[in-house]
Amino acid sequence: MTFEKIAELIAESKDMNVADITMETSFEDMELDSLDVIEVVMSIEEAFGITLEIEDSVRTVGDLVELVDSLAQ
Amino acid sequence: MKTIITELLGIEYPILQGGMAWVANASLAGAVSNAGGLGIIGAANAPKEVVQEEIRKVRELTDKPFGVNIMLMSPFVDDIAKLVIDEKIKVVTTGAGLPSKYMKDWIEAGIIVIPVVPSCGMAKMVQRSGASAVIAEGGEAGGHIGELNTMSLVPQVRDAVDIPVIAAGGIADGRGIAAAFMLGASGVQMGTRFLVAKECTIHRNYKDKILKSKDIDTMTTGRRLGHPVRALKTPFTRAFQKNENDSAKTLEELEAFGAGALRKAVLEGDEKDGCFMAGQCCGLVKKEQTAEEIIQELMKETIEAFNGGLQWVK
Repeated sequence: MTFEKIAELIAESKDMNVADITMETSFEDMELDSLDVIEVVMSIEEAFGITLEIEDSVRTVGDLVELVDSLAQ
Repeated sequence: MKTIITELLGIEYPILQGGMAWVANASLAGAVSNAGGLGIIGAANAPKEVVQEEIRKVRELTDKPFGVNIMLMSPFVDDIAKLVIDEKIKVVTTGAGLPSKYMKDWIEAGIIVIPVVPSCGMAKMVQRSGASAVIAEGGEAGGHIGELNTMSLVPQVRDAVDIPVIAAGGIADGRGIAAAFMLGASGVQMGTRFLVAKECTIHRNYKDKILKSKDIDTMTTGRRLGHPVRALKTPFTRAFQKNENDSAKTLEELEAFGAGALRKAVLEGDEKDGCFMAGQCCGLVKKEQTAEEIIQELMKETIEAFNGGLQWVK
């Protein structure tokens, strides 16, 4: 559920095909630079009503999903 | 000239001097603050003791407000983040990333935090963490730069946040300042113009190169490394470009090639291996003046530009 929503948000804000995004897809795979990641994070925050602190260890869509799920609990 | 920025910082003119690595030392920062702008010490990659010494020297030179620029990719960033609290620094500007993890402590210590931002998203992020203003710096600037240009970035950041916006990148005279105000800024940050200030202690060769430079004399290198740098076209930048275009060169080799090049330019004036960082406005910088003369001239020109704003309209 969280994954689908996040994949949708990334695909929407970065003009990508949602089918190309998996849990293992990294920001680097998607050619997202640090500023793109900030945009994505902000759209996730808005959609989930949470605040995210992004560390360097967050590199993939799966990392994002895990982070969001840990905050939602 | 009073603006929301002069009132926020307690300074006379809405001009900040960029926290240029190796360049923005006590001599320059003290002179700019004494002239009514905001002098800024560039902490860059320097260890705590070096920055502390510069802070003490500025305090001997002036009792007016000054700031410290913290480069967030510095290996000593945690030390410097604490130092500015211990030293009761009034203003901190940040570069090369998101300062979120330090913001709470700084704000609790009463520090005015003004991050340099290259995008609206980052401007919103730092506003949320409690920034008092942002410096929207376009890619015309010298040194490490973002993708957007000042003309496009400043009005978009203006619309994205509620805090004051300071424009940077490409501003070297009063026309640039007036234009920045038209885009929604209430202050400016300038680097290149202050490189040739009499109080700026960089090597003679560096100053001569800036004074001689024209519109097309800068280039950017380092895009492949993900952090582009604008500097004067010199044997070093051309060699770097060649290496960058050579796909056999690894990123590590490229990083190693660039290491120490700015220091060689600033301290040694090394015309072969030095990296002379400068903004695209370098062609507008034609004479050496004191910081006081620079700021007075800028303010006079700004008023003239405001008053003459309709001169091209028929």
